Amino acid sequence: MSIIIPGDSVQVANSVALGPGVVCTRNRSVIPVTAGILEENSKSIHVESNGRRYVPSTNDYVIGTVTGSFGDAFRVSLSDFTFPVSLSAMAFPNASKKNRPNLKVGSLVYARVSSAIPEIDVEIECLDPTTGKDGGFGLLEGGYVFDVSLAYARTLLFNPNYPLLNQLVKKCQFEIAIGLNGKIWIKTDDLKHTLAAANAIKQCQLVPSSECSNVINSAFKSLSQ
Amino acid sequence: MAEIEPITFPPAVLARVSPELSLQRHLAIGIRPCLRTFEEFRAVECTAGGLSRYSEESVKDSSVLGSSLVKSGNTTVICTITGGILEEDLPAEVVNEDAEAVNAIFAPEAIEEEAKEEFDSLESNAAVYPIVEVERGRIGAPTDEEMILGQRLYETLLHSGIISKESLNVRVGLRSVEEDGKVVITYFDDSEIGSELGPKRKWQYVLYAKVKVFSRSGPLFELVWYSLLQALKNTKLPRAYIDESAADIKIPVKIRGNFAAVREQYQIICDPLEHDTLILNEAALGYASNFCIIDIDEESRETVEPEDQSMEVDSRSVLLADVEGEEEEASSKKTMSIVVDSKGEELKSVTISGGVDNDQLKRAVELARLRSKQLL
Amino acid sequence: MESQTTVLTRVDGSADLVHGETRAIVSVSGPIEPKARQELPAAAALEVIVRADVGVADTREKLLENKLRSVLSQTILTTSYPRQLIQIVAQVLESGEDERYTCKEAASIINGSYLALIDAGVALQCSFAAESFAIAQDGEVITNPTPLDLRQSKSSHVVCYSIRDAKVDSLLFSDSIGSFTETQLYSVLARGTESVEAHHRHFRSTIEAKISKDFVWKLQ
Repeated sequence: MSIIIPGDSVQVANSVALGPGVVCTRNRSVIPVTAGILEENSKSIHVESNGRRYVPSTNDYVIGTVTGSFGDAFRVSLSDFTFPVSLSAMAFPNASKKNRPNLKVGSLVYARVSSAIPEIDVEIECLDPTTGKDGGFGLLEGGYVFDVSLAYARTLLFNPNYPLLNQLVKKCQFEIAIGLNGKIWIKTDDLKHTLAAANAIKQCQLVPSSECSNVINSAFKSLSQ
Repeated sequence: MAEIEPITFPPAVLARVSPELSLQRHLAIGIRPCLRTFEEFRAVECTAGGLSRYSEESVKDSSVLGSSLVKSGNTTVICTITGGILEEDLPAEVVNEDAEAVNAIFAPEAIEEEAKEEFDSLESNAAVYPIVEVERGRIGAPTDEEMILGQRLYETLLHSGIISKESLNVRVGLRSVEEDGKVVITYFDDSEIGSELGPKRKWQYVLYAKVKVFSRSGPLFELVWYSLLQALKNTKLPRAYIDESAADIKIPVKIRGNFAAVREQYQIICDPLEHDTLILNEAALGYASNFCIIDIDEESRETVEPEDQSMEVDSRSVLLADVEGEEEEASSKKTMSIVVDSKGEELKSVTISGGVDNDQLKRAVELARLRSKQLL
Repeated sequence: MESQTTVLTRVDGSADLVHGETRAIVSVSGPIEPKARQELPAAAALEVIVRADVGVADTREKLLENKLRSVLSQTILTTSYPRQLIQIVAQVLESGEDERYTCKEAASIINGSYLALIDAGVALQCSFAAESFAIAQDGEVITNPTPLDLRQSKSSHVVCYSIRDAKVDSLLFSDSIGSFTETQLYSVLARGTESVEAHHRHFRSTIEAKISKDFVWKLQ
């Protein structure tokens, strides 16, 4: 694990893809711009860092709150105090002028960032562009949403070896949506289980992965009493 | 098919559309957008004292004690100094003979503490309270720039030691009625008796400076500082006196139902004609200059036509003195502001922003010295 | 010097910094939505707020904000966040100096901002650190002066350098006030490089501690 901070120099091969946390300056040198763990291989280089402020990036899966609608689109908030993103009413499976999705202010949606150009408004969509089907996106009904750190959300979503979800499933049945904007939505059949699972996930951010099962056990135990 | 034509702008428009590009192209041929050479300062014109109550042509009931009008390039700065008188907080024993005895009984520590008071290098320095207004054709709360300028003027004046606290002491006179009913005002300037006869209390002048800037065209601190110093140079402090009859008497008063006796608050009156000149520490007087460093990019150097080669600029970065205009101000990422005393020996304030190297700093200090001497 | 990051939970990044007699806490929020008048089409707007330890902020704090802004506008990669706002709030907890001086506070809020920006993950072009100095009546240069040193000094200085590969790269900001010679100014600038590098080593260990805490769940 090599920790890198802005101002350190990095050696890169001629053709690598630059991921988050590294930029190419005007005089064509690659510099790290955030502090974190340098992850590099022959094809790509990026700095893995843990922030709390989400910056939209194309193809991210996110959980947003509908805050309003204008014209043919909904205004959706991905995190507090940031620019709202827009979710077109046409960006739903089987949507047409007549068949408009019924989203009220305050409803939660699970969506994919379809366009994230910094200079213009970010757009998200609730369908799988390869199939045109819902692909798991759409309105999230019921359940409970809470915040985790951004890097932790990435691990939960992308790292199949992280033991948390596999151990959690032994305790209760649940539906989960993980947003890379640091929001997690969880729904179980019982409110107690929902709270216990949410607490367990939040607590696991603070302990090594081997402790996950202990954290889950104590979270469920404290609520079953 | 329509032909694609490059868009062209007249220089004035280009300067607004793309200040950086416009500046780069100018500098590449060795001249600045304001048509000055790199290290050339603007001329400064100054009329001092014109608005003051003590000037010959001015109205006599004006409250302005000193003033200056400074013009440099398109910018005009008007600075007026006004003032007030404040009674100093003196230790009780100075004002009242009994206090020392009382303190010795009730607060013996307080006396000891005072005894080992430490040396304070700013103790004897004073400043004026400046307000800067940059006219923009609308009114409203002061902008950040105005507040920052005001604070910089205050701090620079306080730390440079140009005005000493002593020079702001009011040397009060006494008004008395002579036997024949004639009113005389006596100032005890030269005699030792004065301190005996005069009241034990002390007063100080407090000076306020109001600086108005018209048609801003670049960083302002240096001009505003110059106008403030020029105004201070011709500032006259009115003489003040107290009434003999009001000295040291007890008057019974009623406060919230309780009767008490308080000592009289001296009524201090300014003399309409008599005045002193504000004494400045000439050695500390220093003028300010600003500089910026612009790196000329390769692209601009390549655009220079062969016939202009005579004006070629060898170094990649150039030092510009006395920043003026939108283009220079917007593109200057490296700036320096230097106040150096008029003898050129001591620096009073140096603010550097951006990657200035020591050679550039040296050159800037050298130019600032020349400038300060020239402005004296 | 003592420093700690992530001390506030409701902002994106924060740092608490104690340096000698001075203590400041700095928070960073961003990139967030700016007010319409702040918005810049091609870069992030910076909102810098300095709060005094005692009383309300006045022109003295405005000048401090201006100094902090001049450092931050050179180091934050604002072009990465067009149309966004990055808000930096520095609260001085203990000024550690007379109100006639600002050098110790300036150095502390610059250093605190660095750690808070790193904590918030805001893109920076380089690392930076600052130090305050005073020149005594006898010409001696005092690093991080005490309030007494300052009161008796001839001049006070604050110096901030950018850092690349743990070495001083270039001067970002320097502010000097009082009476001093040119040679003294150069020696302050030279002394600055040493202490700034030392601060940077300290900050690096603070950041490393933060990162290993951030990723504790990655461990077995």
